[in-house]
Amino acid sequence: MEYVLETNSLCKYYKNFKALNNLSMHVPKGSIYGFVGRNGAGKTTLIRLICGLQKTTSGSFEIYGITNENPDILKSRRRMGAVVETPSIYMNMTAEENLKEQFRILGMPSFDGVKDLLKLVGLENTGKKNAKNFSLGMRQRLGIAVALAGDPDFLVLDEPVNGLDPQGIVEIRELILKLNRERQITVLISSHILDELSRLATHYGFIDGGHMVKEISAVELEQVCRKCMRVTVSDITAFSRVMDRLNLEYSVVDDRTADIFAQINVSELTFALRDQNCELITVSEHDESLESYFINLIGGGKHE
Amino acid sequence: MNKLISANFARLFKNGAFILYMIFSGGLSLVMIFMRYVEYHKHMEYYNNIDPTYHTMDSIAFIGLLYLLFAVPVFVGNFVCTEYSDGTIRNKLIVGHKRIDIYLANLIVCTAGTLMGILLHLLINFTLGIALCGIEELTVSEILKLTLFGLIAFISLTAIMVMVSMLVKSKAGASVTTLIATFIMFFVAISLNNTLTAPEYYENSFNPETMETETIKNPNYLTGTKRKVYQTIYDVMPSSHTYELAMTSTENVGKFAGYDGIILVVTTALGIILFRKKDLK
Repeated sequence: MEYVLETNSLCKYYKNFKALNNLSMHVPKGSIYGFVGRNGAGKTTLIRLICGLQKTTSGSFEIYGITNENPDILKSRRRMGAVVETPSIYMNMTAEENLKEQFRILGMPSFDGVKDLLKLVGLENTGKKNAKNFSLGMRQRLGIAVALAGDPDFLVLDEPVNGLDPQGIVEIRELILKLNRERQITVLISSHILDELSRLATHYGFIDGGHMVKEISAVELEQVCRKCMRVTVSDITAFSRVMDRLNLEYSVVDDRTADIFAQINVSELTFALRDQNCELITVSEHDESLESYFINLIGGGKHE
Repeated sequence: MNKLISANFARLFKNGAFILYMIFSGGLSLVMIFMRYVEYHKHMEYYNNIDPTYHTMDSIAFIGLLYLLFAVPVFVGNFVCTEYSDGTIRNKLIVGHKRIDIYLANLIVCTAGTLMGILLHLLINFTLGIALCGIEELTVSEILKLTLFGLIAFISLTAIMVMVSMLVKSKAGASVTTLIATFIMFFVAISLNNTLTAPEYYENSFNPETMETETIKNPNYLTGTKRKVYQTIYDVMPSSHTYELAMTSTENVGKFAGYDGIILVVTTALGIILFRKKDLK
């Protein structure tokens, strides 16, 4: 698989605080990568590092195969656009002036794409209104337009829907999906609004305490989170033999628990297990959401 | 770096602090010239008796630069730190511009902005000012020499302001820090100048027995190493240079310009080193 961004044992310390601790992540090309973690988990720190705002303490990262120690990293950053925390826009300029300024920074020969970009983000009718008079959603969309000015292949968005109203959230979601589907832009979105992410992401990375806990594709996550029957048995090996014989899809959770992804006849299952000297202790319906998956993954108890 | 300079210039002409700085520079000239003109014509006889050159531009040609000394930090602090307060410095880094280029582009554009204000001020002084008030003692070569020296002094001053602004990052913080620093430097310059130019002996004590004026040694007169240290501090500070300029003193302009060059190189090198190491948010 081709990766746009890879990090290898990345560390960032602020004095004695480990903001990132041996973080390894892989953002596949063409994906919408949901970077999930609670506040202070290290999401923004990672984004600051890959954007060149801060230096790594140890470890490395690669953007389009170019490592951060290679001076050519500056060239691969030209293929990137990012909105880090708040939109980076001049408040005393209009939307058009902001885009023209970014075009100058990029050294674009003309301002031909400015109107198209404003239309893409729905700000074509803002006229002479300065950005300081924009709503939060409009500023966020202008920030994305500025990030798109260099026609990037990789877009990094840090908490893009934070503080937005429902309408604003829908607009940003539709914009991100449009960019990914129509322009094939790889998107890295950090967020802790899991419901919103689940509508967008094709891949997930779960971070906690500066460490990557798990990376999983949306398809795999769907498999894990889909409806199932969770059973507790006395002998998991005997249970596996029975499941294989009955040709039922299942997954083992631990040495006493397993999930069955099929409609089952509990009586038949009980008899089949009994034949293998295995007791069926409990049966319950199990339906995991992204939220509960995340809480289970990072150990919800310790954050209570 | 050309891209950054072009983008910064486009932003400069829309920057409110720069526009106010330019209005202040030009307005200051106009106010000074008209006040001098009106004041002289109101009390012509009096001024002709005490100072025959009072009505000319000689004494006020460069004095406005002392006021601009306090306007430059406000303009530079606002221009540079807008990048931090609006977060737009990130746009430059994310698309792959080097930190050294970002620093130098800011320095170049702020310097150009500062010099535009100085030149506007001097241009009005030497066109409208001379047309209305005339000039008697300053020669063309002295004017050119002092103008060049003024530009160099303000380049070094801008370099200090850019360094502070790039490192402090807060718009209000940078402006306040540089303004306070400028005030301190200015009063230190005046104080040092008074100390260094004080005479070694006073001749104001009249002895009625001998019918002669006695000379008394000035107890605060500086000598030896202490005088050298005070003189060096005075020579190095950009505020001293502006003060000398305001007094239209051409005596040490070469030496002062040399110190300005050193300040420019040292502050820029230090600023770049520290800015490259700085974690940005």
